[in-house]
Parts: sequence; C-alpha cells; structure tokens
Amino acid sequence: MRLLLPLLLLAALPAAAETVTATRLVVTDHAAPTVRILAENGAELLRVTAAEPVRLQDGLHRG
Amino acid sequence: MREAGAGRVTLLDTGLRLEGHGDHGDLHVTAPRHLPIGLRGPRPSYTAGAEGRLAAFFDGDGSVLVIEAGREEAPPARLSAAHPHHGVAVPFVAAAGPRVAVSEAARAGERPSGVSLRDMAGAEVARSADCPSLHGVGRTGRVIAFGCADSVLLLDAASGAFSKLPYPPEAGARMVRNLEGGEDWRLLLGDFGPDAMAVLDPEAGTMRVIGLPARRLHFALGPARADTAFVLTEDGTLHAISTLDGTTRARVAATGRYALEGGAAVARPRLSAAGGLVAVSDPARGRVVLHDAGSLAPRRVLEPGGAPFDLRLVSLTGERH
Repeated sequence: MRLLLPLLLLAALPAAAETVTATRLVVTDHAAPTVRILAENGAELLRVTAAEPVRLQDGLHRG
Repeated sequence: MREAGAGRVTLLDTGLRLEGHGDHGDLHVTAPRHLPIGLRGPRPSYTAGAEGRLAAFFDGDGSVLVIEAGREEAPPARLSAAHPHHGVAVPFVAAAGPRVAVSEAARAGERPSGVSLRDMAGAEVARSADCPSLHGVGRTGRVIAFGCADSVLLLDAASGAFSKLPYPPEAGARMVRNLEGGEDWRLLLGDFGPDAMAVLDPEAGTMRVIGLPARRLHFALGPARADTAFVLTEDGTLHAISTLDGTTRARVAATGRYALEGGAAVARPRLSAAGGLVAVSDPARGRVVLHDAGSLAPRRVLEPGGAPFDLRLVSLTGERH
C-alpha cells in the first residue's frame, strides 16, 4: 500500500510538452504593391494588394 | 501596413500567438489574416504598439488614433498633437494609468522639439520641450527613448519622468535618428550619422559609438537577443556586431552594392532579425535570404519576386502539448 500513492501521482502527470518555434516573413513589394506573409520555407500564406509601396511597422505584439 | 498616400493604416495578423501560463507559453499557429480594421487619417507616418494598445500618428493633421488589443473593431480613441508635423506617438501604461507619448512641434510643419504625455481623453499631463529635431523612438524595459539633435531623451514609462542622455563631445552634427530596443538586454541600438552606430545603456547613462567601415543601408536588432546588432552597409556586407563590447562577431557578403541616393521611396535592402535568423532583402534580385544570426551563413533563399521593399521576420517559440 505504501507504493500506491506515488504511482498514482506519476500517472496523473501530463505528457511532456514539445518546444517548437514558428517563423513567418512579412514582405512588401515595390514593383507591384502588395504585402505577403510567407512561411519559413517560402510558401505564400497571405497576399494583400496595396494602393502604394508599403512600409511595415510592428504592431501589438513582437516576435 | 502603412499607406501614406492613401491615408490608411491596416493591420495584419501573422497567425502566431503565445499564450502565457506563468512558467511557460503555449504556441498557437493559425492562418494569417488581413484584419477588417482601418485607421484613417492624412499621411500616417508612424505606428507603435505596447502593453495592449496600438497608436498611429498622422503627419497631415497631427492626430493620433489608438486601439486596444481585443477591442480592435471598436472606434479608436482620438488624440492630437498641438500642431501637425512629422511625428510619433507611443502608447504605454504609467502608474497613473494608460498614457500616450506624442511628439510636439512649436508650429505647424516644423520639426518636433518635445514630447507631451497625454491620457486617453487627450488631456496633457506632462511635457518635455527639450528634444530639438526629434526623430526616432525605441523602447527597452520601462524606458522609452527619443532621438534628439543634442542627446537622447529618456522617458521612464512607470513614473512619467524625463531625463537626457547627452552625446559624446566628438559627436559633431551627428544624431540618433532611428532606435531599436532590446527585451532581454536593457539597451537601445541607434544609428549615429551615416557610418556609425550607437549603443545606449539607459540605466548606466552611457553611450558607446561603434564606427562602421562603410555607409549604412539599414540596421536591425533582434529584440529577444539584443546582444547582437545587424548592420548592412552600402557595399552589400552584412555585419554582426556585439552590442556589449562593440566587436564584430561575423560579416558576410549579402547583396550587391546599393546607392544611398534617391530618398526613402527607393527600394533598397532591408533587415529584420528574429528567432535566430536575419532576413536580408535584395530588391534587384527579387529575393530574401535568411541568414543564421550567429555565423551569418545563408540558411535559406526565398524568391518572392518583384522588388522587396520592406520586411518583418516574426518568430515565436513556445510549447505544444
């Protein structure tokens, strides 16, 4: 009976979390004014057409 | 994203979010979105976000629009500088409540020469009139810094008190015009004339000037790893420089040669650093190269085409259960 409580506590621990990093690149185009968000492998995730070449500034949160 | 001619600031959600749990943060990754929020006014010139608020300054009429995180679609709070000018506005939370630091000019169209602190109703609660030719702002910890012709003006965001960090005697006509702040190290990195950088320690009240071998095209500081400054010079060389002792840690040929002439509307290489990477755009080749932030070795070449004009690298590390 003495071993029962430690065994129960161990069983209640959650699985170990995995530490991961996610990176995205926001890039604007001077030739054809757009803003695109790319994955780290270059895949295009979002494209927004702009009225003019766009400068970016940091928003509410920073990476 | 800021469109000065169209009089519009719009917001993009990169889809990366860190949910804090005290001893760790959970990383959430979703599809990026173009948020249905438009801040409108004449000639938007600057936006800054901090502590749950984002402020946009409009040069055309000196107005400032402020939105809150989580209430982005509510009507923005509207504040105003005393006169229109090319300015900045920075939100922060003081002990007395939320405030916005707003640049101030003596007359319409003049260069700003001071900073007012305003509450969210727009009332002025404090002012420093001692920052001639104000240009550029950065933040590290509770210190917000403004570049001035004779010094860097420091604002303690907790107390609302101003102080000044003077330039060294050999500064001449040079001044800090752009600033980036560290999050891990309490320091600020600024440009200082065309061929030097300045590292400021606001707590110690010191400033180190670091000479560059050629004129600077752009610079960046990875806010979470502020011990290294990244500088691109006009010969196309990318430099990694220690902000702690001023030594060069690495350098690499990153782009072709670009001229500084032509003004800000010309597409030139830009830098952005985050997550152990430095992104360098190369408009002539229509590409962006991701370099390792330690060795500066190229890690990946992205070819979005066109002429990359500006960029931001966003990287978050967290746990996934």
